[in-house]
Parts: sequence; structure tokens; C-alpha cells
Amino acid sequence: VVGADPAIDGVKLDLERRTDGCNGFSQVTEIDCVRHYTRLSTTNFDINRGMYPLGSCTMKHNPLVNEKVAADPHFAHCHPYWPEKYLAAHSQVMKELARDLAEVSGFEHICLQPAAGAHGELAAVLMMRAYFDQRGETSRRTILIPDTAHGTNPASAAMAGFECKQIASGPEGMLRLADVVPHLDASCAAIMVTNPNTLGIYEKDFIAIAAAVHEKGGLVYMDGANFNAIMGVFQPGKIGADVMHFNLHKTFTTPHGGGGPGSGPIGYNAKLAPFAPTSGKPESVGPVKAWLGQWGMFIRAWTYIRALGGTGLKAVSEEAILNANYVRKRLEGSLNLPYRTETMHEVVFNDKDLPNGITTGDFAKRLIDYGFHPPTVYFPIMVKGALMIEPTETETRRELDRFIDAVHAVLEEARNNPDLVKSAPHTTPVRRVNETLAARKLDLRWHDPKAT
Amino acid sequence: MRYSGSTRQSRADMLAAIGVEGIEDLLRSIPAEARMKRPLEVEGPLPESDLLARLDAMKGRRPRVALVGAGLYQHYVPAPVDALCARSEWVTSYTPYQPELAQGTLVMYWEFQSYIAQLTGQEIANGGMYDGSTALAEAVLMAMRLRPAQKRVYVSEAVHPEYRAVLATYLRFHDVAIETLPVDRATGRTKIALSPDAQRDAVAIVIQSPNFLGAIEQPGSLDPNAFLIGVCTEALSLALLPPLRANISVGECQSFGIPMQLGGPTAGFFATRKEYVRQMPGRLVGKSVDADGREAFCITLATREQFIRREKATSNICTSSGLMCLRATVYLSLLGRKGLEELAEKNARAARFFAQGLEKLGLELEHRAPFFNEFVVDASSKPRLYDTLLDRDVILGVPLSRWYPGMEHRYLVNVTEVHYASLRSVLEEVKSAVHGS
Repeated sequence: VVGADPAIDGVKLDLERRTDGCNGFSQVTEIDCVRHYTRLSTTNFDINRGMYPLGSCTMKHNPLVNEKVAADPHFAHCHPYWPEKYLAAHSQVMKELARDLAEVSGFEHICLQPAAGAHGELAAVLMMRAYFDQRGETSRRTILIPDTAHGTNPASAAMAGFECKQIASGPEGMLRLADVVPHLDASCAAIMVTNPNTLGIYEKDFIAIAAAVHEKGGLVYMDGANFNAIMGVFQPGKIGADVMHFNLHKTFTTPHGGGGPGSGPIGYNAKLAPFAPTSGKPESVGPVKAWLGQWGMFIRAWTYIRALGGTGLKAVSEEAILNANYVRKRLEGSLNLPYRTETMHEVVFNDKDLPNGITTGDFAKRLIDYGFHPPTVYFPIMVKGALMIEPTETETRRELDRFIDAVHAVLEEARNNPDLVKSAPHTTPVRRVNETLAARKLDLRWHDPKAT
Repeated sequence: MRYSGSTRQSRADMLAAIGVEGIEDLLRSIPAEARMKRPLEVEGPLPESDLLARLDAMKGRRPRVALVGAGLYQHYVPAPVDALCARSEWVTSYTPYQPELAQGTLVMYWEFQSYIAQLTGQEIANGGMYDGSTALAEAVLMAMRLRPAQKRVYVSEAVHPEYRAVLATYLRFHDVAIETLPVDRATGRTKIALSPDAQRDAVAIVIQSPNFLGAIEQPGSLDPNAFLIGVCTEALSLALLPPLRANISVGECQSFGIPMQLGGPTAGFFATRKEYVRQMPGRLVGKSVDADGREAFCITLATREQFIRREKATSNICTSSGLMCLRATVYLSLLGRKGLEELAEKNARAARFFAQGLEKLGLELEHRAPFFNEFVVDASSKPRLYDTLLDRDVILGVPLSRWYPGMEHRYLVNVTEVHYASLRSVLEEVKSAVHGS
């Protein structure tokens, strides 16, 4: 594009240029581009279209004011290397957000830097590793992880060089103190607990387990993926957790964006403070990401917290729990409920009683035809054929009833017309996708048809 | 409370349906000793209008001209990128584990992978990383999986200092040493004085081009068995310059339609050879067919990922940077190959025009090597120049002494298309500041 200034346009370029074509680039008009991405977008399901009862993902309404503040040029177009005098508002927002997160979690310290929940886990396990190394406790290399845990927990632990030991939950779907204690030997560094866990159950032995782990010199990590259930209800930092991550893209309504960006700040206590990525201390494990963190998510979360206030945040958790219990009550006679322990914000059914060989996968795909995103399926892994429902607080009773009616309708079809269910979905832009073929015959990019 | 669904009546009805009297009955599984016994103390609730007013009141001044890059670049974001990427179908959708409900997102990732593979000259690319710095760290971890016997990684001193710091964090508890390759003071390029044996014995050699000092690297002939990781923080340069012939290419997509946002969120890219695909971190989208034989897309090779492989996964990465990859994809589609190349040329010309203007005012360029849109100026002959300009809200680049001792009064200056129209007046301001300082 030639600009208005011939003196600039005439500058000679002393550069070796690339000669390959990049032929897969489109050369289109603006309306071509606009239509392509508009049409593509309409093949997506999204929260603004319908309910997403995805367990442990907290797909709740993303308030639109969040997007408005994040798009403000003052907050969108700013550089971390600008001198401080230009970044006063940004620093203030981050300071206030950190204070808010400390308040809801009960931790003294917050590091905003991690880019997503798993990244917060990574920061935390690195801090734990540095903590033990500094104490000379180099034999502590095992992290205990319950069978209800997200896959990110063991994956993060492994990245800091820890071995993982899986602990089976008890018959009530909870970790039992008696099952943990035998593992608290000289090799045990920490335990990673999600509370409430991914069955939507409060870990009743949490305080006792934390005390036992601490007694033996270990540390307690809390996975904050299910924080939407506990705001104003309990503070992990006050009941034995040493460190936890937040998912601003779950609890604090920053959008999921089709797979990110997330934001995974961590809260921690004085024991781990020197080792934090941003502590500025010689003991710090160092930054986990360039720059300060996901600023664009911070300002959304800051906005959300202030739109609700303290009583509003507590009401979020209460209503999330109310909605999950309502769904459970209305469905527990119809779907098999493997754990009957009290439900908090999500509930896990499974496919044990489904007729005619209908699987969880079939059931989930047929719900799509009724206008709902499927629940989380086949997770947690210790429940065979799991169907994990988290309605969140932003769904009305009317919408929950519509969802419950859809589940009942699919059950009816499973009995009377199983082929309809097994071949679902029928109303989507594409039908069931052949994932085996995709993995066997990898096609990951555009290829020039002329180049054979 | 304004976002939640319940009314007093619906709450009462639902509690009755559940068979309890109040919300407290639903919390009885939590022991009293665990419960929070006071209200949460956070600001609010504030109505939307008050919230916006509160933010407005906090806003301070903005620079008039900011010639600041150093890994995050002030490029123009075309209106269609903002408009298309604000559609809720992109913004509020989930990770595309259910392909029938997410073809839009999946096609976008596949296009993103195609664009990145072509720009980097690689066979394959993944569906994005958190950012460039973590993409580099993951690239070195992948090289370590491919070359488990090697215990040393060589990293150029001209790789972005924050990227190097993040790499050090990721490697802290691994049995691999990081060694720094020095920069040639005259050219600004990395000196690779490693014997073929040393190259072969390295996990990887990490070079950034254009490097952090702006210089375009020419690593020359490396040993065929050396494992090169190429980093690029200014992806626009790839429209003009040959990419490094690397085993893994990583970098930052922020230049492609992503606002700087104080450094996050952005999107990292990660591209490599097909033979390494099973060791790649992150999400991959593949083309397949649906039950009717029509073209359809889905996540593939998920057996590398944490939700299946757990502690044996190639990475712990889960939620990554989808919406930012979308921005990059729409941007690249909108500009096309030709538009991108012209924009890159405009950047390179504007940066040279400005550099030459500074030289005419008696300032010197620190390095000889060709640059793209960023260079180091030596202002040690005018030690008050930077602050004088800053008082007028003109930021003459990034002071380098923060990372490189001995580089006092050296500034990394970035010029892009957004500065094009004001370059002459900025040079006038520099001129008056030079004379006043």
C-alpha cells in the first residue's frame, strides 16, 4: 500500500526477501472475508444461543459490559513497556483485582500472571518444588492426586518433575483421610484436591487431610476450577490450602472464546510467597509468561466482581448450587446417579440404566437436536459413562425445565426409537464426525492442489 | 444478582421441589468450621453506568507517539477484525470437543494452522499457544523429548529477555543447562562459534529473527544434526523475510490484529515437521468426514493431550488462545498475501526513513545488520533526549539498559504503519529536543 509520502515510499530496502509463494493465502474482498467468517460463526453453538451444561467448565453468561470495557482503546491498546505514568489505571485495576481474589479465596498473596488454569497449576507446582528444594527435602517428589482430578493436575505436576500417585475416592465420592494417610511418607510432596470435586461433592475430609499433610511436612494444592460453588461460602486459604488457581474464564465470566484465552491467577500463603513467579525475590521460580498476565481478562473480571459486589458473588454460588440440586432432583429418578452424596454446583449421572445399548455419547449427541450443548461426558474418569451437568446460576428455572424435558424426551426415544438416538445429531451443520479417520489420515493444513 | 436467573418465587418453588427449606440446607455437607462467617468485602454492586464512570475517572494520560515494540507491536487493527471477532458465536463458545456444534471454530483453527505453517515454512502447525514466550519454552521441552541424551541448550542473548526468563522457569527443575550465545556488538547478530560436535550435542540452538535488538539473523550453515528452534516475535516480518530453516518455529501472533492489551492475551504459534507431530504440545485440528461423507473437522491426536494422557501428556496445556488465533486468522485472510507483504514493506521503509532521520540529527545506529521495523539508536551523545521527549509524551523506544548492562542511553525504536503519517513531525520534535538537550 503506497502511502502519501513519496520520500518514505521511495526508501530502498536492503533486505533478502523470501521467494516462496505462501500460495494458500486468500486474496479476497472485504465482503468475501466478512461473509466467510460470519457464515462459519453460525455453525458454532455458543452461550448466547443456548444452555451449555458442561460440568466443571462453568459456562455461564458472559456479561456484555465486560466486552465493552475490554474493548476501550485506553485498556486495549497499551504496552507494558510504556513508562508508568501512562499505566496508572491499569496498575490500579490489577491491584484491586488481586485484593478481591485474596478476599474471596482467603489467601494473603495473589500472582495474576498465569495464562490459564493449567498454567496456574504449573506455576504452583514449580513453587512447591522450589520450596522443598530450598529446605533440602529433595526426596519429596510425589504428588497425590485423587481419581476425580482434572487431567491437567497430573500433567502439570509432571512438568515440574513430580511423580503422580492416584488415590481412589471412597464409596461416597469423596477422598477419605484414611486412604490418604498411608501415602504420607517421606516421598510425599503435596496433594492436589479440587473442592468441591468434579462429582460436585464437597470434600468433607478436606480440613483433616490438609492437617495430616501439613503434619508430615507436605503442601496442599487446591484446584479452583469449581470456585463458582464456594464464593462467600468457604475460603480455601483459611481451611488448609497453601496454594490454588482461579479460572477467570469460569468463575469470573471472562469468555471461553472457543478454547481461550483463559486467565489463571494463583493465590498462596506466606510459606510459598518467596517462590512466586512475580515475588521479585531471589527464591522466585521466575516468570511463567512474558509480561504481566492476561490483562484483557483482568479488566473483565474486575468489572464482573464490581457489578455484583460481595453479596452478589455469594448469591452466585448459592444459586449455582440451587440450580444443580434442582436438576438432580428432577432427573435422579430417570438417570442413574452413581453417587448419592449431597450435590453442590454440578451433578454426575451415567449411562448405566440407559436402554437398548444407548451410550453416554449417543445421549449427549441427541441432546444437541433439542438445542442444548451436551454435558461433559466420560469425565470424571472414575465414573463409567459419566454425564456431568453444571447448569450454573445464570440459567432460569424455565430454561432448566426445558433442559430437563429434553433429557426426558431423549430417554423416551432411547426406549422407543433407539436408532434415532444412536445416529444423532440430525440438525447440525455436520453429522457425527469421523475422528478415527482424522487421526489415521492426518490432514492438518491447506495443500496446494497444483503441487501434488 | 442481576445476571442470575432466579426470582424470589422461583427460588421458593425450586427449594420446595428439592424438598428443603432454604439454601442453607443445601450447604450442610460443609462443616461449620470451614464456613466463612462474615460477608465478602468487595466493592459493589455498581450499576453499569457507575462502573464505566469509575473506570473513566481512573484513566490517565496517553502517549502521543509511542515508538515502542520489543515483542508487542502497535499495528492497526482493521475494523472487520474487531467486528467479526466480537460475534458471540466466537466469543462465548467452548473448546470444540463436540465437533458437530463447533465447525466454525474448528475450520478457523485449521485455517490458522495452514497460515502459520506457510508463514514459517514448516510442514505443520498447531492451533496456538498462550503466547510466544510459552511457545518457546514448550519448544525446548519438545526438543528434550526428541533428544533425551542431550543436556545443553544454547540460547542467543538476542532472544527476547522475557522469553529467556520464561524458558529458565520451565527448565528450572530439568537436567538441562542453558548457555547463552553472545551478540556481536558491531552487527547486532548472534555469534554462533560452536563446533559441529557442540551443535550436535545440544538439545537445541535457539535463535530469534529479527532478534530482540532488531537485527535480522543469518545463522549460516549449522551442522545438519543441530536442532534449531527459530523464534519470531514480529510475525509481520515473515511476510517479507525468509523464515529461519528451523526444526521448530515458534513466536507471537500479536502483530496480526491482536491489540497489545498490556501483553495479554495474545497468541503464540508453534510449527514444526510432520515427523515430530506426536511430540507436539497443544491442540491440533484435522480434516475428516462426517457420517454422510461430507467434509468435516475435529480435534485430532488428542491422545497427546492432558485430558487423555494425564501425566504422560506432551504438555499440560488446556484452554489456550482460541479467540486470539481467530483474530490472527481473520487478519491474514483480510490482508491476503499481497496486502501482508505491502504492509511489511511499508513498515520496513518507515523504520528506515526514521532511522535515517535520526542519523541526520547526529544520533547513531548501534548495529550494522539489516533490520525490519525495529532498530537500536545510540543516544549517549544526547543523554537528556529521551526524558525531554517523554515530557512531551513522545516515547523514543525502550531503554535497553534494563536488560543489557553497558547499553545505557541505547533505545530500541519501533516504527510501524501507524506512525507513518507522523514521522516527519516526530523527527521535528526530536530535532528540537536534540537542540534543547
